[in-house]
Amino acid sequence: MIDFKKGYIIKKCDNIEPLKEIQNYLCKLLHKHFDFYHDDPFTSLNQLHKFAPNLNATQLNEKRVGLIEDFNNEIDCSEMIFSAFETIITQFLGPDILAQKKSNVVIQMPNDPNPSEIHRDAPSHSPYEIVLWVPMVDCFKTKAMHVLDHQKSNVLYDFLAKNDDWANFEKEATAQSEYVPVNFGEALIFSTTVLHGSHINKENETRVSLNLRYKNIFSPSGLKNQLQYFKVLKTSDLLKIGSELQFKKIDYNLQKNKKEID
Amino acid sequence: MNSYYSCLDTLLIAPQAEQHDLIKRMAYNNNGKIVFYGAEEYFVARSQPFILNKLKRTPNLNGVIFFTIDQFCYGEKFNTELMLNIVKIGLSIHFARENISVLNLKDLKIKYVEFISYYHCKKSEQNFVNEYYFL
Ligand SMILES: [Fe+2]
Repeated sequence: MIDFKKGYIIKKCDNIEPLKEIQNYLCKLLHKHFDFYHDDPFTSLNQLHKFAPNLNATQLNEKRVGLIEDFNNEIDCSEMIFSAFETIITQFLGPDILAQKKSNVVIQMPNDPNPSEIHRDAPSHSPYEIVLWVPMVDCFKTKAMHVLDHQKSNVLYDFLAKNDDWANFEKEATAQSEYVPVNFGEALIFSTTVLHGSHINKENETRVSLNLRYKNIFSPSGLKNQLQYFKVLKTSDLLKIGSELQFKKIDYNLQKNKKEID
Repeated sequence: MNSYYSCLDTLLIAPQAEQHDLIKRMAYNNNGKIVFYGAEEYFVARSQPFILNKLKRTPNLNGVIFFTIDQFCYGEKFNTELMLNIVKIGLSIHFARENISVLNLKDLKIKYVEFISYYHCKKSEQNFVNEYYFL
């Protein structure tokens, strides 16, 4: 059984190859979109801010959007991340799994003034989902994410519900949160109910990370349209047998009713 | 060029012009155009009892485009019967908002799990999300 009381864990992958493949592919796209070349993937990613200097926020965002589109069009990232972390994802969700259709790619250069402010993904995302935050480089100190455990997140939301005081909520959340160092080859797996975010990256390296979500096929959805956001990744034989019978029964009743009407 | 029947979701707040636009785009992406617009009075949104006969009576159709799969989820259970009846008269079914198509009976059997999962998960979500998260 996974010890998930905190609402997040760091897990090493079962298989590094799919992650290396994603990393190499991402570098290829960075070389194309940011117009540079370096043969070492870690240098290409960590030093991106040096290879692509003087970009303002709008230009950086335009490049990022183009890159994410190419990225998702050409590789099946959710399948690859799943194969890297199959054991733990299956332990969490069982054999019938939905995966986010498109992966998010986040690029956080040093001193970028727009980190992601502290938030939680639920309820637009289901509290039964898990988020895999998968860095493509080693992340530490301010280059890493900061997270508040499940219990502390809940206490703060109770405070917010009672006092309707967002400013103090945010201040407290930031003060209580912890940096979570995660290396390439590992994933930070967290519940959509825990508060998380990033601060301004004060390290000398760019952070490039992916995030995507998985859920069990029959767990309650969040507010997002499940069919738009998720695709079926894996189904067990048991589910196939059960749904086949359900479908047959409806078809049988239809034919029976039709005969009675005729 | 395929010919499609368009079916708006009358229970949805989304403006009809936007629904039309997405449905038209779905027709275009499936090599076709809309040849018939279902009028609101022709179906009762929850179970859509009139749509099947309407489709049978409209000549030279290749398929029907609904704005959203939610049009099959408003009743007490997922409206598999209507989907089955539509594919059995040889028409494809498309959902514009979700960008999902059911081309024939075989395809429906494959996608059925995804549809019942959607229905089940959405109904379960409605039972608790509003009560807790929006205190
Ligand atoms: Fe988030």
